Amino acid sequence: MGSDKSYKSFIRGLLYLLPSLVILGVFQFYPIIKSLDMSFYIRYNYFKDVVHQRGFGNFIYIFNDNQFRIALKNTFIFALGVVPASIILSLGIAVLLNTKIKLRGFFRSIYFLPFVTSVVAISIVWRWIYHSRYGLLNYLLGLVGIYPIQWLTDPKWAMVSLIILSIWRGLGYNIIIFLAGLQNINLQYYQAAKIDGASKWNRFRYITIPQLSPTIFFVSIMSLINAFKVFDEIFALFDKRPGPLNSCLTVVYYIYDQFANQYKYGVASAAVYVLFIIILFFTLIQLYIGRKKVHYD
Amino acid sequence: MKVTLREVSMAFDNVLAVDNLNLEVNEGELVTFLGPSGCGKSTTLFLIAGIYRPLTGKIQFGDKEVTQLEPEEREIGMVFQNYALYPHMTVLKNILFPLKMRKTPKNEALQQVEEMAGLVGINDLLHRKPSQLSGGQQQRVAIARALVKKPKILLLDEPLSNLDARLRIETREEIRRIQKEVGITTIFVTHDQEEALSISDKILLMKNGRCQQYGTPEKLYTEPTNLFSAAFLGNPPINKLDGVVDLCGNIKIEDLDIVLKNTSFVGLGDNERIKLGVRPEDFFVVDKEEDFDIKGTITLIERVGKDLIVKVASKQYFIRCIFSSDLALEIGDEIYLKIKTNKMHTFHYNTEISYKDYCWNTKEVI
Repeated sequence: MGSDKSYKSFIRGLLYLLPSLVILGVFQFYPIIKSLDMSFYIRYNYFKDVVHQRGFGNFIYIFNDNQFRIALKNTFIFALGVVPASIILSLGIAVLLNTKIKLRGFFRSIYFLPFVTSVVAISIVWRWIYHSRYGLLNYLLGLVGIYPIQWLTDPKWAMVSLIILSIWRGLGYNIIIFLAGLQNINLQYYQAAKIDGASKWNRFRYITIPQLSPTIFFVSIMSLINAFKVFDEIFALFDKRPGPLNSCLTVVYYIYDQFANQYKYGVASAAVYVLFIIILFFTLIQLYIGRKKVHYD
Repeated sequence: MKVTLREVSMAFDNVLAVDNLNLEVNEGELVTFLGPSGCGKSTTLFLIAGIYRPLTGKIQFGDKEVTQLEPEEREIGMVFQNYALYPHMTVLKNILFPLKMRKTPKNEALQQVEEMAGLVGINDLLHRKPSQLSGGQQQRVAIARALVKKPKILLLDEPLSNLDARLRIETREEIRRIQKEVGITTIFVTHDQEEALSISDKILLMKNGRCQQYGTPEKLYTEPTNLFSAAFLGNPPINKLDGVVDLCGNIKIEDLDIVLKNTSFVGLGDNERIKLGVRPEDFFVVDKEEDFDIKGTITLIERVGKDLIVKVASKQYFIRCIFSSDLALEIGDEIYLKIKTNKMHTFHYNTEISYKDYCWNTKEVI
């Protein structure tokens, strides 16, 4: 009786979940498994979905591909350039916004705007800002006597431009998360620290940072994952190109290129899984550090 | 160090929290700020700590004015209501923190922490996190952290309110012991009159941001300056009665339909309305044949240790008295009471200010 009843309610529950399970299955689980399978395709007909041979050839190919090596290097440079700077900047701004300054609601919205605006629209605006002759940035630099920089066309500067844009774009989201974290810190700790003789910096160092560590941890993981996945900004900023002389060729751009331009579906899938392993590896390292350093009290 | 407040006022959103307060706390004294919640006692403490700035007035520590100084420059130690121990630091690091901020050399600092931990009795807890401690232990850590930098003044904001009844009594004795041992000027905020009466050298009783009375616990209990003061102190609370006094000192109490004859309370006009306060212990039981003031029926007997708290109904009015438990009393008994009229408190009907200071015992003079 009892098991019959619970079986019935299980079926009923399943029925309720069915619509979302179907959608998840078709658009999430199937592609994940299919692309894993595809990464082993060596000889195949993509359009008829016939596979003649499977093997590790695609993985061997990408590790010997100079383009992929460039993509890996660029992705790491990008992540290194964006993640720490973005966290430090957004934490600083969040701390400022958390004080009783005037118009703080206004500033909060201003910082959040880039995050809710389309990447393409933002990138087009920044293409103008970065323009070597008519751009705002070079105009401002010109005011302090700096010679115009070829932001988007000089291979040395293209990555810098991309990093600046990405930091700026990610700021709002990080700030909101940090603000939420800051507002959860009990004010009494600051009062106690004041009475204990802690200066402003020491209160930040010994109260804010440890109390905020779960938030910092979360933001750093999310930022790193997002940095490894950078694509849209490049696509829009450099007019569908990976920057001058592949200077902004990242792993996701490489995947896109292999798939959409070169029609090497197997290679693209293999690169997807290499990226997945890299992200997993760094996230595990962060989790390990997090367990030692983060205070969840 | 001596603490002086001169005409200090403080407001939040146009509501006066502290209203023109004057206060002197002498070196080495333990003073309690007592009052109902919202009376401004914690605000006053935070003003002394420097966490709030007064709207007007001056605060002095010794001869030095500190009104505009930051808390970190005031050389004070403070224990917060919920202790505010840094949750991410061990007990050791919590107590070490004020010394670290002062850049005390590490060895010296550790030694001072050890000493302080010994004083409050937490030596074996130094490597735990605050979340692993009981309320009482957290309390001790908070006191150690407040005292380790050898402050000039110790401030305690309702430090016992999170402890259970027995621990509360133990801890307040402990606080008194530590305070005496260190000899530090201490200000203690509480809403519990019993706590205030038991550990203070002096009590500042507050209501609506104003000082109601400032003096020794004994003085506040025996000579309340107004009805609020009389009613706030003492457990069970004082019995409040309305009366009318005539020129001969006869006080008619309408609630009980009795007349207290020939009290020494004279000097007012004829048929002047007054308010009376009679402490529960200022009644005594007499025989039916004797001259009694109040005749009533016992409706409730509460045994508190060796005492009996007895609720007596008389003419729709209830009186609380306290007697020794050797009296054989039963619920439903008729009881005859006499008031110790010389212990009675009398107050102006409208202002509720005590008459004591100017017309009590003036019969002889007239």
